[in-house]
Amino acid sequence: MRSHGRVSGVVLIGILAVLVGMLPGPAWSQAPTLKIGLQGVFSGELAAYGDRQKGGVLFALSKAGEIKVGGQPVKIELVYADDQGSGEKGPIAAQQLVDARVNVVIGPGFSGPTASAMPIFRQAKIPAVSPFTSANNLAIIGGGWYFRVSQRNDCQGEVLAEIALGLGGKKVVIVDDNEAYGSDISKSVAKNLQAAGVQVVGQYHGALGMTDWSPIVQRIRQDSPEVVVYNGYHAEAGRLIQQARDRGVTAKFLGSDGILDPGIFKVAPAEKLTDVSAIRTIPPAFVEGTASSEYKRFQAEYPPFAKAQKLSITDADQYSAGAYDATNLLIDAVRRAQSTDGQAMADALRSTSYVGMTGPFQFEANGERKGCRISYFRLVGSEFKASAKPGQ
Amino acid sequence: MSELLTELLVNALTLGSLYVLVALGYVLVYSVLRIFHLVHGDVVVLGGMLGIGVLHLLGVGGPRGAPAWLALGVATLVAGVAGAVVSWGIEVGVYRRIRTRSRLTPLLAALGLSLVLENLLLLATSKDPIPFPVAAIPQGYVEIAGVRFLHVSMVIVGAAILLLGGVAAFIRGTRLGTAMLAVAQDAEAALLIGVPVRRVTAAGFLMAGALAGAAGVLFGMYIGSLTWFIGSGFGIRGFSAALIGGLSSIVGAGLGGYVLAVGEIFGVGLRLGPFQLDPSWRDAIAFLLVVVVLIFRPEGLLGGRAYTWQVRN
Repeated sequence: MRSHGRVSGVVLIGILAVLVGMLPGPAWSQAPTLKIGLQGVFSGELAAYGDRQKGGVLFALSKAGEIKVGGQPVKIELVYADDQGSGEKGPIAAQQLVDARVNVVIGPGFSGPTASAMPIFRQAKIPAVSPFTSANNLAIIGGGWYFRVSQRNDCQGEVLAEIALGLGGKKVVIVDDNEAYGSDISKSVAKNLQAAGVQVVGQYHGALGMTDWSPIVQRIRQDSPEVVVYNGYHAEAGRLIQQARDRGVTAKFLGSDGILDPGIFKVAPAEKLTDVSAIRTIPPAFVEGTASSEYKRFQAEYPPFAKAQKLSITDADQYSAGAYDATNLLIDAVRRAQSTDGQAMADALRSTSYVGMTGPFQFEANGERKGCRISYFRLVGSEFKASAKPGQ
Repeated sequence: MSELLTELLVNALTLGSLYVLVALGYVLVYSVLRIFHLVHGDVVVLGGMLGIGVLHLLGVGGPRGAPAWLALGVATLVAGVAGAVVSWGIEVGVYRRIRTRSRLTPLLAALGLSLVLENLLLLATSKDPIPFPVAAIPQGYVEIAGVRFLHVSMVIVGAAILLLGGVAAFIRGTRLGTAMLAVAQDAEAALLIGVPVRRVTAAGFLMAGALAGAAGVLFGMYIGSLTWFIGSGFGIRGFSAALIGGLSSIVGAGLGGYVLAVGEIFGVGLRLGPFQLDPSWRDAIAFLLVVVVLIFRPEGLLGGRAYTWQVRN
């Protein structure tokens, strides 16, 4: 009988505990947690992009101050998933983040893995704020869960075609790395050049990680263009330009924003990178010299921060700035939504009105960033110098 | 047209020379141990990176630096020695202990070693490409009838011919070389007649490693920089060349390397009327070539013939 009484007491305490747990907003309840997934390139030849992504996020979090939801300070956790920039590995990394129950993703870093990862995030109702992806179709694939910080490839293609024309291109060759990002821009450049009456004498595809570019250099020599537009990343661009110069190609090289990376000088010496220019997806008003005071502060404070984090690259460039902006957009959304729920954050992101390091932000209903803002840089010695666009 | 053909041929000869050096390593190892030494491509990169380190140490291009030709010679020698030591270490430390097990075991061990070596290179280089010092790359060209013969290409082809000739002379003209041929034909019979099989196997690995190290320096010179993960790509190309020529044929490795390079370069470089393949078809052409050869001559173009040298002599 006494034993039965003890059991009833335990059951009663259990029921009370469950009921107390169901009460809304008790003072002793757990602090809300914002689990941020970082999907990007954290290993491989392009791992420097992952370091910039990580650096921009950590820097923004260090500057964010306290984030409160319902009067409670939000606890932030970061979860990393490496997709190596490959479309095939995108879904695997995305599933890792879904399994880790992240609330939001900053990433993926590259367009290929973003295209393959977004269906998974969409299904899991996790918004992904992508710091530097640019493929045109990502907002469509994302179905309202993808938010672009960078600029669409169409925007880059349009401006690259204008610049190629300004550089005196009557005959132009277009080369890319056959990845989603590069070939997307190539199509747009070709379309815009043809519309402007410029002859696209050759359009060739290499590959990510390709080391021997001699067959393409051979074609460029045959085509003898005034301008070669390369769409892809710095490692491949550096090798292509070096091998082209070695074989006597004198055409001007113009590149998409992926080639504008100091790492290009690790692949090819500055003396071989002559007559090279590229674009950045940052508005001209935000580039060095004409930038806002916040941008100048970012330029001054980010490099020592990244160095202290032991990141392989410490430059305050468009990539670290993109990741910084992505994080601040997300924090702004959490503060406005007063929630860390995926749907609430996605709704808040859609009504964003914010000015970041890479310019002003407003999103279309599908998560596409409004506007097209590009600045132009020339390689002078071993530096990128902001310049006026040729022909302007 | 003839200008284009000559230029394509020069490109193919240069690339083929690099493939031959890697393919030869596969053949030497396969001949003495009958295993696919899939870590070989990573030894190429290791050798190349060490060679670049030596060039920096010698201050090539600097005011008090060694002359480029001397620095290159020393770098190639050091890379060759390092490649030989690493390959020999792999043979003694790993393959020797597992060679009697199933054929799959050494293959898996080789794959594992390849990953280990790649990751060590990743840690050592902090993920960055290692640029080849420009001052050590032969600059300029000779132009004949509108065709540019780059000095760097001539150095690569010349070095490959020298190394290939050296290996052939060693195998045909020395007792150890003859012993290698005997082991390649039948290791058990060779052991029965008193051939020191263990020493011969070690010699095969030492030679393969030395060639890999030297090839690494030449690769770095050709493409301008080396990155930690590109070894598997080199390895696959060298292995494909060895398969085309015949995994048991030293002359076949030479032929396979040039056939592969000619297929790749001409496949995407030639224009037949309005028809010309995009350069991105290059890998597909290379592997299609391997498949076609394997279908019609599974032993490779010259498979099994190299060892008739001994009989002919």
